[in-house]
Amino acid sequence: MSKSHTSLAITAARTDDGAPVYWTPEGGWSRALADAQVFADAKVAEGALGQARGQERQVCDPYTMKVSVVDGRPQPLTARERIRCEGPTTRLRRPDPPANPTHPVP
Amino acid sequence: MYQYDQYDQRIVDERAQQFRGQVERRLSGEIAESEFKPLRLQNGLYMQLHAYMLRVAIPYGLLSSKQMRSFAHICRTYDKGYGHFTTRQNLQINWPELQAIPKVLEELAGVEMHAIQTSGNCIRNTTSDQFAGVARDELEDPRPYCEIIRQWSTFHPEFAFLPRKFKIAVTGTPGDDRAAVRLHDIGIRIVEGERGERGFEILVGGGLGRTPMIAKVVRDFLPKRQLLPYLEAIMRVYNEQGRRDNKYKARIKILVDALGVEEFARRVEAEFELIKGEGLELTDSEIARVGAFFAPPPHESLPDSDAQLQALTLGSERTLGLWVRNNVIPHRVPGYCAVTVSLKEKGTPPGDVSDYQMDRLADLADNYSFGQLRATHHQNLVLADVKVADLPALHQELAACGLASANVGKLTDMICCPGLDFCALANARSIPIAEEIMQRFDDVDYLNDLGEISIKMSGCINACGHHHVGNIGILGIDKQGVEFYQLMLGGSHNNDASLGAIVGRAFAQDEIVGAIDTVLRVYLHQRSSPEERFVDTYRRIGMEPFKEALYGAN
Repeated sequence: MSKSHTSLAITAARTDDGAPVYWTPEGGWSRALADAQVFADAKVAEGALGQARGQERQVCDPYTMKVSVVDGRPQPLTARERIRCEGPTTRLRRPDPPANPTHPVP
Repeated sequence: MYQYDQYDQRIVDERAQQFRGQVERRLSGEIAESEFKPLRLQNGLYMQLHAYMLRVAIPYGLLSSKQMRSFAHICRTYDKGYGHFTTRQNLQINWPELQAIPKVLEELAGVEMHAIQTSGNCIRNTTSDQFAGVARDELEDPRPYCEIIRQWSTFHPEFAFLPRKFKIAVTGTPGDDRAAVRLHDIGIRIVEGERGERGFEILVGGGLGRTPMIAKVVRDFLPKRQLLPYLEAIMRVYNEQGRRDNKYKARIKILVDALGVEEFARRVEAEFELIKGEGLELTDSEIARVGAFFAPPPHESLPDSDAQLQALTLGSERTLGLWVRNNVIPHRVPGYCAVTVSLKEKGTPPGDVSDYQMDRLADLADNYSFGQLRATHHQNLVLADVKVADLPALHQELAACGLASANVGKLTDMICCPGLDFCALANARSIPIAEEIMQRFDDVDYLNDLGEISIKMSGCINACGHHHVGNIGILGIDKQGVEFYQLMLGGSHNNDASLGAIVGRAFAQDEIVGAIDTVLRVYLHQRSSPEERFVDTYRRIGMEPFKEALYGAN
């Protein structure tokens, strides 16, 4: 049976494209929450957040988010962070009619 | 439609150029997000949940086929192949990379468009009636006045940093408010004075958001020439006396409510007396000059076609007939009609259009409607000058690109904000609920039986989806990280504008569409006749029967 407990991760929006990114143990950023550094101690997280805020070229507005750690992997706790992490839950663009295949669905 | 002069073109070109430099400095690390944010917002560039979002202004919703093709190209080249028409007659693209934005702005400037003043505490895009200039019940075309307001408010140095954002709407049809003027910071109605002369009724202090209010009349009749001095007087009173200490109490509606409309009007009149005669008055020749840009297109001389229109609705081609009945209105010019293209197709977020569809719509505008389209605040598009004889062919071509839903004004023609799937402010998703509603009630006979009814949905209290004025309103809320939905009943945005009331406790995501079904069943059971609209039934019987059906004894 999997065990879970609540911890913190650091997230921000990437400057180049606004994509959600997560602070890694190496002091960089990853698009995958699975790569995120997980903090059990809020004070340690605050310290890392200070470091993250120093990377103003790469990212915008870093903040801490609560995560549950399930089988060692961080999972978002709120609908907002889940959608940020996994992307919109709706289809982004309707397919063109079959007779007009010039614009494939991205 | 209005054509840029050298000054319009220059300021838009220069702004695109300035923003190129600002983006370069942000990408090089020379400036931080805290410095860049106010600059990007002044160019309509937001940061949303997954990406930047660029909001492009469509002045009073009017756009040419050339501009629509430019949208298609931008969406295809710099985004994910689609755009989203908003409740303020604008277009949003959801996935542009930062380095692409200067190029996008340059392309927009090339077709006389921009994203200036689509964000920030300034005067935003002035909105209007999608049937301006063609509606039979119109007193006068409001678009020349929208354009005059656009020119006055663009880069107005005094009103660049207002207490909060500011929205103006104008209608030329006093009998049928299709521009929702009572829900704007300033609503302007073209009216006739006692001697039949034309002027404006000015309403102030409407708005939705967390404190919804219906606008109040501050001037029964304003002579046309005084439009700009009077607007300037309102803006000055607001700019000076509106609250800046609390953004949630900073809109003009709060000031009007705090002072009382009589005192607010007195202060405006006092300011107006100081401004009058300082050169802002409109001359007849200036009104005529701007009005000439909105002259009717060269319609053919055709016989009256009302009977032909009626015959189409009752003809053997049922799909065509239903579409004509719901999506087409008669035109003031014999032989013509105005067609609303529904952007509420099952399986697609309300207001979304693909680049392919944009190109096809531009072609259809060229072939059937003098090369022009209009965006509506209901997140639909209008081809305003279509020959009645062309309706079967147009319908066929729209159907071929998935744009022939016959649901305008019906339950599934719902307004819906992007919600938590995209928006950084949202508390709950809107689009999946809208899609479920469109799926569940996808029966044209049922929709026609329900008649005129509106659902409006917002993913948060900011009310971009106008939930307060939906006959049925849905508000997404967050309860400890989980999405819930409040149901409201009895709102209306028209001449009989009213704010909806919350029915009771919020519904879970898997309950809300069933709750709407229950509400509709109560309406169908309680209505006095098939002609009694939902909102009229609600006003007659009140909340209790709906509440009882939804919550029972609980």
